[in-house]
Amino acid sequence: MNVRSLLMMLFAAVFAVGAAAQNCPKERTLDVPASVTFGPVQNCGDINYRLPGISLSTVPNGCPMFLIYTPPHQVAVPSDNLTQVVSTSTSAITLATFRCQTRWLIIIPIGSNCVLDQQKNVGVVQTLVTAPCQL
Amino acid sequence: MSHTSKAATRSRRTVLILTTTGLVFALAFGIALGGPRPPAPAPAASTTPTAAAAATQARGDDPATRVVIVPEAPPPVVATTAEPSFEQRVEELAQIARRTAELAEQDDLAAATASDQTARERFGELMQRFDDAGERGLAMLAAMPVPDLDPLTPARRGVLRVVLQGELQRRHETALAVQDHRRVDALVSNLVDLMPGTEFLIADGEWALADRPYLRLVHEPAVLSLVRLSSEERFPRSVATRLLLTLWHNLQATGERSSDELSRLALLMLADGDPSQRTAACRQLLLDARYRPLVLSWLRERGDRTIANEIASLAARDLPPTAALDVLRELGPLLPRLPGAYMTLGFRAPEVLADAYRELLASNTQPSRRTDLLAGVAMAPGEIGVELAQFALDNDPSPDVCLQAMFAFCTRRDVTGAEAAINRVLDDEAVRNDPARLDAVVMAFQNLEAGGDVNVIDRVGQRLNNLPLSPASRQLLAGILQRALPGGEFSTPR
Repeated sequence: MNVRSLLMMLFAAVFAVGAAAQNCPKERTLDVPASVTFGPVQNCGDINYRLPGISLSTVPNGCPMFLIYTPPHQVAVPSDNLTQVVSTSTSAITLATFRCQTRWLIIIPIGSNCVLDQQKNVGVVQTLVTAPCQL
Repeated sequence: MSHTSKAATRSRRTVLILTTTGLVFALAFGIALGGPRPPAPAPAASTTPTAAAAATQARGDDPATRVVIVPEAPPPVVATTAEPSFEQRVEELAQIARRTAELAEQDDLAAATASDQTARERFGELMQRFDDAGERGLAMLAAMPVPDLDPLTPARRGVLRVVLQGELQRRHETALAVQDHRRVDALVSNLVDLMPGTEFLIADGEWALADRPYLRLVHEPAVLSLVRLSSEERFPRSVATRLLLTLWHNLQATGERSSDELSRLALLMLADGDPSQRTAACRQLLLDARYRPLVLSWLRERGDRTIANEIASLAARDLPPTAALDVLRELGPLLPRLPGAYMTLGFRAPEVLADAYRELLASNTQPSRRTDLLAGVAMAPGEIGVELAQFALDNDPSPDVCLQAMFAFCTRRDVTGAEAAINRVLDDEAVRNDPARLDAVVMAFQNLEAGGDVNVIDRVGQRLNNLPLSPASRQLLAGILQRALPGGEFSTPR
């Protein structure tokens, strides 16, 4: 291999790195913990509700009209490094609606139950990983 | 609708009306109890006239002048009905509650109503007979084992909760009338002190005190003590935060502390290490427009996403909609996605979110926030959600925003609209060639399963089945089709 070939290879390598740097989004992942957001409450009894990774029970002072469960996920944020984020899986944001089921006819409200009415997927969040940009 | 189901519907309606009437009656009854009541029963030992006289003198007089009365010979024994104790009355009410429920479930409404009437009378007697019903009920709650497998325990707890609430209410009303809060304050103090004891007391204490007017300045040390326990993970933080917020609200409402004083206190608490105090402080300051920028700046500098998430939820629930939207926008750099908070706000004020979405679309910026805004508007009842979603499908260049618009259709009962929305997003190469985005489509499609329209599931399922799905989505799709289609098989391709 002569000097000319070596110079050409070096130039190609430098060019490739430069091009990669230009195309690289320079992002990394940021962990966001799971969250549950409750809607307004109806006067009702206790609640028992289970979802993968979360169990809610005996929420006092009423029955939420709905709750929104956002599973743990990652979001992309700027990074100083030549990295990018890659999606590895998708999780659903779940909306659960509740209603009071009153079975007891008495002034003592021990018979009202907060029961699950519907459960729906209302959006998605991504599980992301940080990966180096391809050179 | 069959005759049977009509009758059942009528029965349920009657049950509802009666229940509502019962609650109104209970409220009125509780208010009535605020007036003067006969004194509490004398101790069991003081049932003879002489002993009662001795007890009266002993209670009311100075010890130095107390007259000692020699007991007389006991009177002849006569058959009398013993006065039921507090515990016996609670037990009786719990039994009546269960019996009433059984009658109601059997649709024997006449008997259920009669039983309900008996419960009201017995409850009234209990509250009139015991002017320390709150303390007695609290003692019973504190003594309940957790977990308690006795099937009557929920009924007993229900009775005791109503007793506690009734007692707090009547003492509070009397206190307002005579400007003397000592009796209600004492009961509240007992309750707060006992709360860390058991799960029942935590739940019942929160039920009795949160968002109610009973916590006052005198209880501040006890509430802060719960906050400290929560920072040591010995008490639920959400409950501690809620009680602290209730306390501050009450202090402001009654004038025990001015808004400025509370804000200054909150500023001090921002620097505190305890998360409950910080959350409460943030909320207090966010409510005051003068301090809002300061809190947001503090949140950004601190970078604590857990607190930021809680604040986002609080703002979405409690702040005026435009102020809440400002807070969510300001938290954007810290939390790029806030779907739960936007959905909560969208339930309250969809128009505000819809306007913000249109503004961002006009400048074609912040697709993540546009996604959350659309998700929020979709929570609103009525047509505004699908109208904006259709507008997004027609105009928004971001495939991810369009995917969120698709969800707005797929959470409604209109399966035809949902099918059109899914087909619309699948027409976009950026979606149909991207397994991650197809995951979202399959999850939206899953909502249609409950609608039960076989033809729509068949058509959309066939289209999805031919796309490059991720293994997880392919498995999810197979499950949906298996459950929804006859024999789990597609119809003949058209």
